[in-house]
Amino acid sequence: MAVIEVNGLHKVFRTKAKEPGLRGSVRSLLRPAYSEVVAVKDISFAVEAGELLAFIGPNGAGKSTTIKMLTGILNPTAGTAQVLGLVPWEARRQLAYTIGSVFGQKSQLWYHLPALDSFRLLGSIYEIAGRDLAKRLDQVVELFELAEFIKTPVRKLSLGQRMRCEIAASILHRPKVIFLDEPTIGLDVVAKLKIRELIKRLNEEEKTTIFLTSHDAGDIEQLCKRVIVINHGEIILDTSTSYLRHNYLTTRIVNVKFAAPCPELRLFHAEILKHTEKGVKFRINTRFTSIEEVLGELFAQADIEDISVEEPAMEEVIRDIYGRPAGEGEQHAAG
Amino acid sequence: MQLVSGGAWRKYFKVAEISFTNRIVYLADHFASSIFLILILFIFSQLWKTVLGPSEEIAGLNSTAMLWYMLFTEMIALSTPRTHHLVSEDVKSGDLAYKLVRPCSYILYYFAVYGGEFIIRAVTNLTVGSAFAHLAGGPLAVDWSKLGWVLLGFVLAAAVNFLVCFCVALLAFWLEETRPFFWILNKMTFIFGGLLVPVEAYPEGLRRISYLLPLRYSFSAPARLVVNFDYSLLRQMLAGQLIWAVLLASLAALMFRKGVRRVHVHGG
Repeated sequence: MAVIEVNGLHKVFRTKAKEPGLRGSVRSLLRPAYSEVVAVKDISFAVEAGELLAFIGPNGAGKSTTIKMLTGILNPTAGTAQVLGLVPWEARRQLAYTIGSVFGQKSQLWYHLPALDSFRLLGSIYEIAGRDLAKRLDQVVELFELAEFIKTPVRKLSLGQRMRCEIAASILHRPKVIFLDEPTIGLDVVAKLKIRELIKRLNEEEKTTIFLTSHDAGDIEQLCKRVIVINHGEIILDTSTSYLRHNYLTTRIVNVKFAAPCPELRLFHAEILKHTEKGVKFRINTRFTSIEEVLGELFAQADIEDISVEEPAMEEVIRDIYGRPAGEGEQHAAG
Repeated sequence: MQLVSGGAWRKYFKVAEISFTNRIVYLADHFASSIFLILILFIFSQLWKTVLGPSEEIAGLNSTAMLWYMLFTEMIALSTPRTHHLVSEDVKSGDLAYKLVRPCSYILYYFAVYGGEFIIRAVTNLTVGSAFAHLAGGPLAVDWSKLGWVLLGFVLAAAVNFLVCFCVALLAFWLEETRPFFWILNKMTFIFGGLLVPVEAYPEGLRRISYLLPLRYSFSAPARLVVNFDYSLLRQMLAGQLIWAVLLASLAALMFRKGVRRVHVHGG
């Protein structure tokens, strides 16, 4: 059963256009001119109950505008959408009781107070009865492993701990659908892994449908079975994550630090981007070669002190999708 | 999930409670900022003593009553939280959109935040200010049986003040900068709110303008009531406060509805 259904959703913003300089400012005061920006262009998709969907794209692609329309914050210019059987912009308040949202850089926690205070406040805002709230708090604290710092003022928490609290705060009312907008933004590797693990548990244990936007290819690969790629307001790919992984998320940038100077290095299966006596940076394409194979070559020639692997940037993935022959980058059945 | 009965209103009391709790962190700051109140009261206590002497009055208030009058008007002014600036910022930065995803009224949410913070600021200002006024001008004759009416007057005064500021803050939907309007409002409050002198002491023209505005119901009227309780003033004040509260709440709701529609057109 689809919990989110979107048909021909379209959003055009009208923004004030102003010519530069003093003359432009005066003219804009007397005769304001407007230009139209198409933020979301006629998109259609459906999300099934219990699905963990990645909705990805570069900055300004239309991700946040889509989420704002699906949470009822914005009215579309055209098209229809239903979330849990409700039209979001017509029944925003009613829908708010059944959905949750986390916007990576916007906090819903009170900065000087322990997260527990904010949780209790949100319990009141969502009108959860006292005993039920206490029971739910226990569950959430256990699920997100918050016991250690739930009574610490939010300002003293690390970014990772704060994000765990943010997500926990958004599921207190047991939402059926949760919108996570860049939940791992700015987190270090360890905190990212923890957040991913918790999102996965939330999806598996509470059967919550998760609509995730992220710039981080790792989030998508490790969490989602299906991915929708949006760019310039249009859906350019709707496919399974495994399809995306095998066809687009194939390049890796590897940074290697040598334990001893290695002036000579030959890698037959990688493109060397930078090589000094102290280290090397190279690109590999996992479609044609495995990381193990390249590392094997590397270990045979140098003593290695440290290795780090970078995933491809979202912009690179988008470029790759556009770069493929016609038909290959079009909507691809998810599965 | 079991929903709590009466939760629709209880949530706003909880917001006020958490806003109050949040400000406890700044309790020392609030006491420190009360020094400014002492400075104003000191200057004006000297002024009123010199101008009025032991027997002269302004609008029925002698120098001691004038000092206490000023303590109450300044207490309201200095205790007013800057919640309206948060509202302007929400509108300008687009954060408003993120506040709309919660099942609560945006206006009532901020009123509750304002209320919680106002209480803690008012208590600190009143404690410090009344101790000074007591030492500098002598005690205020308080009729404790009228305390309930006075408190009601102050609650409505704070509500009217919030709504005036909130409406000005909502101008951010149409104008990029609301600070000039707050500056004008601040100066108008000094004069037409009767912050220094009761508006009844003004010349006819100024008094008439003051009577047409909501400002005196937030400052002059409740302060005057507490230093010189009178049932006819109480009736007139409560009627004025209620009428202005309804008018301003309707205006705020209308502005907010139209403003949010504007966000739909122009983006968050």
